[in-house]
Amino acid sequence: MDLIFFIVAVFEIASVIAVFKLKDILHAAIALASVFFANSIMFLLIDQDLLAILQLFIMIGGVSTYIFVGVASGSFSRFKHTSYIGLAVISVVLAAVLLYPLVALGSSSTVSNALTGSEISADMSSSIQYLYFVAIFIFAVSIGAVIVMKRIGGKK
Amino acid sequence: MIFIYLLGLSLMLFAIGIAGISSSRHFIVMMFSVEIVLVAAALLAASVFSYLGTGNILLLLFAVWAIAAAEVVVAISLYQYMVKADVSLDVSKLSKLKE
Repeated sequence: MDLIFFIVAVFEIASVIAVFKLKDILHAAIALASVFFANSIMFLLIDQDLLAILQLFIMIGGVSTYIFVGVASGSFSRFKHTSYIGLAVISVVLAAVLLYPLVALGSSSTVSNALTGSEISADMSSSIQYLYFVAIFIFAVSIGAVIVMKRIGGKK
Repeated sequence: MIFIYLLGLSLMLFAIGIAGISSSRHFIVMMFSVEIVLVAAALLAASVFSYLGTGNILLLLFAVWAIAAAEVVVAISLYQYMVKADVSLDVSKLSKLKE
């Protein structure tokens, strides 16, 4: 578990530094969403499953979505470059990482924490997969909305 | 042992966030720095409550998340206004109350 902690901690600190170093605001917003995601993994590591799901649901599903849409709609003219190959690679990696807990939850007979293995309390185990799926779905939709907005803005 | 690591990580995140607020002049980067500070506070609170094993952390974290969400709503609204009004996002140019 320490190894996972150090990997996630390095990822989180690198994402925080990327927020300040990246020049495009949208890229910085994606780095900030990565910070939120790494933070939810930290909650999982200390067996706070409900906090992890709520962190994903509120901060990624809600706040990051609002940041993406708000930032993208405010500055169409700055989006002049799009690397579709890079976008595809990042999308596949992000989808694999984000969907892993959902697959791990679905494949186990007793619902347990995917990282620590401890059992999740019964009152939230029935809804945890739906909440996680909804959070990731909203996040994916927000990225799709930004791509569509970039294309519309590029045609002006 | 992981509690000490989490404590160090959250303090590092907090320090980076504070450094970002104090050193950056860009409006959006300052907003993101405040988000990072709030994330660090949430992580610290959750790790302390998990270590002590008492109390209800959920109410405290809901307050943190509510503050973060409210801050984003206000900041994005201001950002859109500043972009449409063609105002510079450099906050050092916004320090004067009168022209």
